[in-house]
Amino acid sequence: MKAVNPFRNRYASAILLMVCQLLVPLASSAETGDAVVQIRDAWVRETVPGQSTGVAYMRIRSKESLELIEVKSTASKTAELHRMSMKDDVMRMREARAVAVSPDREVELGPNGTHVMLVDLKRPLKAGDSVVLNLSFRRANGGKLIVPVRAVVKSMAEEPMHGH
Amino acid sequence: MVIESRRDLLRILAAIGALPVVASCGRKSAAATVKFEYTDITGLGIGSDFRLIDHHGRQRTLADFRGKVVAIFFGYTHCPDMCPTALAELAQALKQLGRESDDVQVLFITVDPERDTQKVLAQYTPAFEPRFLGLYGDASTTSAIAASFKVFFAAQRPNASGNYTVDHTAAVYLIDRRGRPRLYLGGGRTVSGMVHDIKLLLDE
Repeated sequence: MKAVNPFRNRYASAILLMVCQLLVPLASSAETGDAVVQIRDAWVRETVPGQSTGVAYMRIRSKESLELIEVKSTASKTAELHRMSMKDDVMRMREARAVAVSPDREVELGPNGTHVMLVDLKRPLKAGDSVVLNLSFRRANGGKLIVPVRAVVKSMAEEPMHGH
Repeated sequence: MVIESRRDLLRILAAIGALPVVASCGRKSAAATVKFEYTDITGLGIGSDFRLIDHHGRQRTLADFRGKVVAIFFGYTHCPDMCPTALAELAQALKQLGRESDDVQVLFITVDPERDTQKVLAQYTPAFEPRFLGLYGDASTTSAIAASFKVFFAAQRPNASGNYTVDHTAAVYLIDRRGRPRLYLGGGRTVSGMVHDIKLLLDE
């Protein structure tokens, strides 16, 4: 293999340092968020080429009453909160303005229910990759809490399609 | 509606113990009614032939697939959850069928032809399984086919960013080798259940 260009390497570490400095305020706000909100089992469903939307799921627990009002993702242009329902085998999806989270009652964003729809994906999501989601919560006092979450991309179905 | 009443009729017959009587009268036909995992729609007038364009740009009719068991799913590519899951499950079913899957054709008919162009379908559909075919038609053709299969669909109003969802029946239809719509696979279907019913149709 080709030897690593030391200048390029130095350049890369300078950028890394800058990014780290930028990340410091984000990390501290995440800590405040983490103290109040706990997110677990965050995952995104793998997508195929030509599929411009994706879906993210997770479990949310909070120490105080909150409302999940907005989601942003690096993987897509926009993200929306959607409520899915099935009646007589008809699938319906409606945009949800907010998802209420009450203290010590876990809210599940999962298949066949409320979920985060990633709209206009920048590229197909591959199993094993991860996606960063920034969740904005409105607090009872009107304040805002932003919680970044890393969601793992999982295979299309429970049984992974081998050889794909 | 029709499907429900037929299912209910079978349930009632089974409950009053009429099924064994029916079975003894015509063992073969009664057994044929109950052996499938999913809803038998044979002879109910659900579904008809159609003329659509596939993702290669070729015109296709249901009759083109005579001799094969055809699985049809109506959906749209902007559907993030239900549609990819259904197609991934059909891909798994084909895999489990092994060599027998050579006689099975999966068709994905879009209910959102405005966004699901030939180019989009050509990327999307074969990504699940290279043999799958994506089909589209204009708005009136799509409506007519959906109506014949009793598939409900309704595009919702676009939001501020222009995105919209489409309500739709998320069912799989199985057509036998002779081109007759035979089974309706609604919610709660499983890969093993689909494999079971496809096999029965292949063996007819």
